[in-house]
Amino acid sequence: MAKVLISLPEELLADIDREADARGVSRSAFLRRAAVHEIGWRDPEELAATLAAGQAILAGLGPADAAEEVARDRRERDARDRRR
Amino acid sequence: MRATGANGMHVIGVVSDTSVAYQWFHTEGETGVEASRALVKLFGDRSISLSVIDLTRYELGNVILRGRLQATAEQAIAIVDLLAQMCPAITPTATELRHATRLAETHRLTLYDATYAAVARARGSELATLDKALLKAGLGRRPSELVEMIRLEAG
Repeated sequence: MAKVLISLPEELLADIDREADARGVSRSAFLRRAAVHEIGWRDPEELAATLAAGQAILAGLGPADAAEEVARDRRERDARDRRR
Repeated sequence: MRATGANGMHVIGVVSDTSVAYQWFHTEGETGVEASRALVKLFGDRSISLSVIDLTRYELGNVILRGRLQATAEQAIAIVDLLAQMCPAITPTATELRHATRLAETHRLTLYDATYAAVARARGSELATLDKALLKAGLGRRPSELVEMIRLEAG
């Protein structure tokens, strides 16, 4: 892995270290993740964990049809907008 | 939007409609969740770039909270937070909103539907959607169709 020397304001570095500590990761790992996010990519393991977490939250809430749910929501908003 | 993938190759950009993002997290009673989630896998592999628009957060939160699922506020907040971690959210430009308004008129769509199509078009991306009106207007493709197309392109 390449090593780089970068300049950062002291306050920002303190913020980075505080956030990295809170997440239990190293400063380097935190900065790598931030850079990947800024470019627009995501780590595959992070994506899988995010999907699993979301599915666990909604599990047991019952059946629904995504297309119909979203379409109905947009129709209702559209109807409200027209009445204004 | 053609982003640079894992090997420095350009990859297909996909903008996801809320209906597809909903299936990332919800399973019961849904059809085609595998394809919606395969888009996330392809994004993780850097085979596509994936994004939603800023509106998606509000729409997803609203349908989970006030739609059939009747989730609690805490559950809806958690899902919206997870969505924010999944992929970037595009804020449509004024030009894209003007284009969306024209698309809405031409295809008799809500402006909400049309905004997704306008953003995808303006950025040279594909729109992944399960919305019948967008699909009928030829402005988006089902995730299953996109996944097949992307895999064929990848050889």
